[in-house]
Amino acid sequence: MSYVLGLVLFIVVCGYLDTRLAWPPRPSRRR
Amino acid sequence: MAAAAEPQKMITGHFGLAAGAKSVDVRAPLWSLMLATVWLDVLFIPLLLLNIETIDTLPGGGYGNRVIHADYTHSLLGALVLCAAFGAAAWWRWDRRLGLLLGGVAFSHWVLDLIVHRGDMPILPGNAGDLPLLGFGLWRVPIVAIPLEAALLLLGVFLYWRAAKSVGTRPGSRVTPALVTGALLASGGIVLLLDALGF
Repeated sequence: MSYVLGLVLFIVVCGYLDTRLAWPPRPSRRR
Repeated sequence: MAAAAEPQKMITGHFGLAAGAKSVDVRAPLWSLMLATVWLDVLFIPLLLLNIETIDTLPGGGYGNRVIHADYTHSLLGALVLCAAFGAAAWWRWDRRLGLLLGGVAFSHWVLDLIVHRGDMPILPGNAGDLPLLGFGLWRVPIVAIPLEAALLLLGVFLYWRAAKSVGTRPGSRVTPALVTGALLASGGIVLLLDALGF
């Protein structure tokens, strides 16, 4: 249970919240 | 010994390291660092379901009380190839620097596992050649392994917070560096507590 919960919390929840901060843009030349 | 129903592995320490890696290059999205740090386990899960790789829970169960037969994804050579592939994908998608960072974070998984695993990590995929199995077995000493995971989490989250507060909040967003840092700490605390209790 802890493992699956960890995947959801860290990748999905924290990962999403991180995208809402003002980080500099990633390079996009290879889109 | 019985097969576990789901992966029961070190996880909080991996995520702590990934959070800290954000400070190396803040352009790397946190989700990609988090995915990189569990990349080997993400590939392990389907092989576990197919019974190609297995977990034996030792008598008593609980934190770290298991032997993991991840003979392909967690072999030294297998991990190097899989992590290089992850880094190459990031290099292709973004740039060389992020590719190297994400490939390195992916391989950090194997290095941290080496510290805690109980001598169950082969050098070659499928344990070809029957070479010595690797793993320093820190899981045998949970009173050291659990604080080590907590320390990795705290250090990683501190490094993340320091990087995040230097950039601040997006215009119009209510998400602050403190909120993300708090979410990381809370997530790590919950997961480590559940892991330590054997859930």
